[in-house]
Amino acid sequence: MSVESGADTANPRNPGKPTRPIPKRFIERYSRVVDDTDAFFSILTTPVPKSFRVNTIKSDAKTVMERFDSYGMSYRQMGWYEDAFTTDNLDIGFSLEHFTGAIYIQELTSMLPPLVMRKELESASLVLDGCAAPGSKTTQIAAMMDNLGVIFANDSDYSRIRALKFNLEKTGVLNTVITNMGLQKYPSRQFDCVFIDAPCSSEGTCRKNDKIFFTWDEGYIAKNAEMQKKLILKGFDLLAPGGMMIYSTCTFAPEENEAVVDCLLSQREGAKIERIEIPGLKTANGVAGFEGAEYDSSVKDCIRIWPHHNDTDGFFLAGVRK
Amino acid sequence: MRSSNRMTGEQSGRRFRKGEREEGELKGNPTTLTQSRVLDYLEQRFGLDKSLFLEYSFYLGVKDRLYLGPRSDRADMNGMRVATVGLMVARADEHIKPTTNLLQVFGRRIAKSVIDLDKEKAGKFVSGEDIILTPSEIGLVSEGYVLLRYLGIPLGCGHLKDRAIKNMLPKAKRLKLRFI
Repeated sequence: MSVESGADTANPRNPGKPTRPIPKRFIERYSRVVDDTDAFFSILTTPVPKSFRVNTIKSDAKTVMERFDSYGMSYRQMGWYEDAFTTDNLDIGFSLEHFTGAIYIQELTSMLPPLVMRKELESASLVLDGCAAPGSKTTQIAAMMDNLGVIFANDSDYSRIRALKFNLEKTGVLNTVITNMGLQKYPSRQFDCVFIDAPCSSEGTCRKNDKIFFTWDEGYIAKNAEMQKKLILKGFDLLAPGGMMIYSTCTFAPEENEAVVDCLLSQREGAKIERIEIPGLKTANGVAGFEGAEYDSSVKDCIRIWPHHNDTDGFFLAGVRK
Repeated sequence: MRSSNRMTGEQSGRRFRKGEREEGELKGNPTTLTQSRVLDYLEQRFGLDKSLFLEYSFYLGVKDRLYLGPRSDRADMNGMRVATVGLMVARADEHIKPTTNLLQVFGRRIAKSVIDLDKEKAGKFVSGEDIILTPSEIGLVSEGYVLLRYLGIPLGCGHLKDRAIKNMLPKAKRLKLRFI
């Protein structure tokens, strides 16, 4: 581990180039909530395995595995999701399957929000992906809906809409309306399922982007948390009675995770946290409190994905039933 | 579709030249005549049954672009700033020109106007090259737009004339494959 005051250490991604140091305050914060500090801080300076998802709109896992076998390409199928794979081969972007959209290069943790909503998606007719770009989750949601029903895929940032559009085209998604507006201005609807994969401080992605540690500061976390509280409240308001919302982020910060869910529970009476289970994937409970703040007892039913548990990025998920 | 669904360059956050329109801008649903023309063409040219499209609606964009998206009676876009809907599946001006998107999505159901390529020609096609075919590769396929396939996998759209396939893959999709 390299810390702020420590000497430069070898960077496994680029030998000879020093690893960006993990800020002392970052270590101090998360040492209090993680189960194994050595394993956690060590893995943060190693690269995350390359992963992809089979796009069932265009192919299936068996066919893709047969094709990859014919290339002599190594891969590993995840026990917790039959369409999720990792590979040591960094050139899968130059495979026929990538060209046709039979596979989609996607982080494993990014596959979790649609996966935990799979049962609901099979019968859903109206779905909102509130922060959709660049479209990894939207394409997966569409595949789980068999390209039927309607997905409203929204992103407030126009510069990201083109990537969203390109990825939906590549994967053959037909059932989507792309909208470009602030979620707060979204007209009243009753969606069966809502996804709020909120913009965040992205601490959990530091294994592939260690610039996170250069710009990291707690003021940014606090600023994000204010915006995320507005997003989760609006997402809940757009949910039909009986509907389910997944709130997720790729950060470790409790202020952007459990505190945001706690805000929803305190401001919307009908909101209930539903325990999420992902058989085959090691998960941890939501934290009960952080730095003097105590959260509603039901936030323990949110789940945290710590990088050292499954060799992934870091992630947070909350299932909210209306 | 109502005019509130339209998006100008200024609204979308990008500056457009005067008169320029956003690529995905929708003008509403196409006329029944246009829809019939496209459905008839897809059935006659590619053997795609019209019932395949019952769960979707067509939308008309700028420059006669035709999009296939969720059924308009189930997708209430009122009050929303819509960037685009579904997939662009054809240009429908004087002639109908199908897109690679369309042929890839429905490729496994396409029964006519299909040309199977060998590994070398499939790689060339994916990289964006035009292809010269042998008479046996052409078989009974008539001139016009065709689906190119490799090992039964739909690759994309080409235009057959004489013995040559003109490559219709969009530049952004072209790729030099290392695994085929």
